[in-house]
Amino acid sequence: MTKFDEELSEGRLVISFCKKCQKFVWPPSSQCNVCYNMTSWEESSKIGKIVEFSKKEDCYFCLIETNDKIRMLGSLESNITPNVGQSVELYKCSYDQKPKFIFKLI
Amino acid sequence: MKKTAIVGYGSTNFTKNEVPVESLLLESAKNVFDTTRNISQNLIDGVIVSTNDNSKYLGAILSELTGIKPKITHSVEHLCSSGSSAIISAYSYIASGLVDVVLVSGADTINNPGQVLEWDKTRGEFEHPIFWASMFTKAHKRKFNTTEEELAIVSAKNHKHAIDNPIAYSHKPFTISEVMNSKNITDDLRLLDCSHSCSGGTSILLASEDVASQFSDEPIWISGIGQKTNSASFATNELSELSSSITASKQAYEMARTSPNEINVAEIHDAFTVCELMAVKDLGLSGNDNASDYIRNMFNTENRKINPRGGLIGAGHPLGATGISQVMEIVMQLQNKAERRQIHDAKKGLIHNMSAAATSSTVMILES
Repeated sequence: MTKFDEELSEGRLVISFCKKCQKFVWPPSSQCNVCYNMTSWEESSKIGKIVEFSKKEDCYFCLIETNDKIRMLGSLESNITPNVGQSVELYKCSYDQKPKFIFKLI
Repeated sequence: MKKTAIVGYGSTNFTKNEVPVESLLLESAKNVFDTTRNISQNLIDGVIVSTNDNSKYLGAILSELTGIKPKITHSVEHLCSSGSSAIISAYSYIASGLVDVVLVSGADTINNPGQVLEWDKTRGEFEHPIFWASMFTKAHKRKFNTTEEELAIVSAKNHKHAIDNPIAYSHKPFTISEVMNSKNITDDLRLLDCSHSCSGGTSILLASEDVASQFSDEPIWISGIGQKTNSASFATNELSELSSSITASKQAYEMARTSPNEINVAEIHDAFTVCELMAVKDLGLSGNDNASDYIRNMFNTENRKINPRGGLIGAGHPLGATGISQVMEIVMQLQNKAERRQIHDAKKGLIHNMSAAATSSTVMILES
């Protein structure tokens, strides 16, 4: 498991960050994809907006862009139909073979 | 730089059977030997295999199975566009003068591992392609007011075309209504909006301009190649356009000194119905028309210009073979040998092959 996976399995969203370029490196990587310096791991914003969404059976899934400009596919726990651009919060995350991101509307 | 032609081709049937990848490669290569004049093992100095299979050393294995002792052999894996990537490798070896004749064989089995990119953590738990396809489809509906019917027309058209493709895995026609009423996969995707993995193998023979006439009186020349990779991860991708396909097509048109309005026939990577609507617009094929109107008109007038063999949706999608099968179809069209699928007087054809939500794309242009 990578640091990202380990932290995620503890419920924390920790993303690789390049201190030289002052940017998050996503998907997570041990080296920056601009300067190739080693990255550190920083806790990332859990707040974002819905870029797009759809629904499978009773479960919404959506493409989210966080305030740190990180995009990911996650599920959305909501009883109402969401809207593109609506603000969400990552309130649960985990790792079991693959990442799991669960958002709710805020 | 030497000109490069396609001078032979052969394919297995595309099926839902579980068949060893080595058997698919061998059968399709044998069909090239059976149908290409003057071909012999000692004339082939390159063997390139395209596959997502986990088997190792398949270039050497296919060479041994076919009795070829090539100068150059290896495998190419690039998910769904492995086939066109393998052809570009072969083209490059020939154009550089390193070799003169290359066999390119692609194959995958129905349960091949190329359908999911486990590395891509941006997809979270939604790693299957149906999820990015749902995002693309919803975004297309939002931007272009695309209807369920307009999406269904793509599938109905391509299934109809596949009826006349003897190697296609499906020969069943579906009405627009049947597509729209097929099983809900997500709110934005029906079962018949999707292409499906299958087992199949396709091979082509490439030759330099110095020797092409030995093998064929109708060599089909590769006149344009464009390829672009923007990323591997889906979530960093744009939803509103096939950005890598746009870049790749511009390169290909420029190299071939041609433009979209000179293309007579095109094989489009319709992994899902929305991909065909996006591609005909982004490659410039639909001109100023709305993509949905353009495809509807094709369907209503029985014009087979787009995906005459049935596309991935109608013919099936054996990942490593798909790009090569697309090329084989355009070669047959330009040789006027596509029988009931034939586009009248086709002189220039285009192939569009892409991977992993269009994170990368290949566009090729062939001419007679």
